Amino acid sequence: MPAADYPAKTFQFHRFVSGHLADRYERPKGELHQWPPIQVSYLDNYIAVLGCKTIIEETHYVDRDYIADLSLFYGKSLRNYPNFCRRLHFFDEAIDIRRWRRLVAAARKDIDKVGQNLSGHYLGFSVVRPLPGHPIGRTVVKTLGPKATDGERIFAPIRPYVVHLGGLRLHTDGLAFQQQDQGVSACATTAVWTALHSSAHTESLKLPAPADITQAASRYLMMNGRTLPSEGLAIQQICEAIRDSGLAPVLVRATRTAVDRGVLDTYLRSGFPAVLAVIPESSGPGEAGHAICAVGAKIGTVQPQTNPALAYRDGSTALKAVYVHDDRLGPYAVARLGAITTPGEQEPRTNLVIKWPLANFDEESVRLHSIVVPMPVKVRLPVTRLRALGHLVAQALGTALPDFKGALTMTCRYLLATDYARRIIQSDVSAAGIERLTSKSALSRYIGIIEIAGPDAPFLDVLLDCTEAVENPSVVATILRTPQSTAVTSIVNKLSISLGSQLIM
Amino acid sequence: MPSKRKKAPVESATHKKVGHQGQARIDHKHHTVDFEAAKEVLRDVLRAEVESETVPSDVLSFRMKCAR
Repeated sequence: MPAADYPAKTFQFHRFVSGHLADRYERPKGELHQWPPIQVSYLDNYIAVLGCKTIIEETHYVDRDYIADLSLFYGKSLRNYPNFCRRLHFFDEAIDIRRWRRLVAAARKDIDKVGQNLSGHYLGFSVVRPLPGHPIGRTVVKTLGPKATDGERIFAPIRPYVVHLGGLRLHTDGLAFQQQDQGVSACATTAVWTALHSSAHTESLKLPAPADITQAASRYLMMNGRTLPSEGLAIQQICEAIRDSGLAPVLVRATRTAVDRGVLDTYLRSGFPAVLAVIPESSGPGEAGHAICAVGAKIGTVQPQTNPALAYRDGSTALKAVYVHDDRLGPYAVARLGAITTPGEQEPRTNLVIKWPLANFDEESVRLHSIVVPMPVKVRLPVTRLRALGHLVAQALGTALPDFKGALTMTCRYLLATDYARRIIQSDVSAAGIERLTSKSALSRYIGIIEIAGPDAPFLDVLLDCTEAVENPSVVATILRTPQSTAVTSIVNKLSISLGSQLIM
Repeated sequence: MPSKRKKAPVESATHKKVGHQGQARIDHKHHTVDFEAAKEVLRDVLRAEVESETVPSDVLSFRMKCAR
């Protein structure tokens, strides 16, 4: 047997033709359920919408996640799985070998400028794993941007990725997606993996590979018997895997639509992706559920208050849909939020209608079971308590200020105190108020914010110390965002005193 | 001789609504921030918010394994 040699690597330049992305994947032997896999068709469609014109293929790419899966599982198989992948890079401009050589020549004079310019045309990448039937590995592609035909898209959990291609440094913003391989990872593993790609990165923690997640989840709890091949994960195992990564798993049980919507709205606005445990409507009793990762929100119009006794509007009613990484489908799939009545339950439950954006696939309706969010360990203030205080503050203010009755909107979020300080410096708060908040007030790393907005402008922010477990007394400051009359200021001051906080304006 | 008009109280200026984000009218009837009244009105809303924190054991054992 010859000694192992070092591998060769080439770049191949392909003109992208919509509907032909599957040409870049090797069709496995045997009869599969479907070829190309839905995920390949979805990605084909998605990059076409982004305006892809060129695919540059790296024929030899060592992928950290795949290597970990190989060493745990595939390396012990009879079949000789390679230890490398291929990687496809997507661009929205025509690039061939001559253009590439010109770019490299220009980079000899100013490499940063060339990388920056090329990043402007870079749509992202997708790793091609040598796994028959499950080829889509780590995939990071751009989002569709903030403007939607029926609202605004918010992708607060996405993050920057740096990509090296032929010596050039490219940048793209997104959040990693991959297809489940059904050997090392099932849907729950990949959903947790996606969530940690955002939250663990924000906290400067090591990003676990899917193999690490499956092992951590099964270290103390073998709820499904053997660990590998993966038989899926239970909620408790998901929590264990998140804890092992250095974050705190916050578990919220789905109860009723208004609450679930508020929880999702708060986390997604705050930049925390949420693992959603869902039950497909087509599944029978006792069947396993499915896990997806919510990575963005579609925001529409805040709905009018339907309860005449309430003097404010809940900002989370504007949440129309969430964007999910669904490993059966692809990245940033739209899931419309709705309510569904189930037999034996009084309150309607939250359902999600996941749009399958290819003509030959149906929409799928799933019921929300629970939400698991990997959070920084020192964010101890639960979202439900933050929102509970938000309701109280908005109602009390709306009642005391009749001109604002029904026009005040309450929204909650978590934010880094440093980011809030940057925001407030650019606001209408006085110079003295800014100095008091930014230079004379100690704040926790993350703060909980109850934002009360008037019809046209921010009105009041209530800031909570997130290192506390209960909402009261945890209010560290009340910020009057817009100058008001003496009488209104007096009311706000009373509110601030009632909350045990300082008033800054 | 015209009769002396009574001087308007200072607070009355705040009754005028000046734009949406300007001075808002004060509810003199309440004239305070009444959290107890708010709690009473919001009883069901607050209960619903906190209810989702309670996690029964069957929720923890819910398994996810869906392939398509």
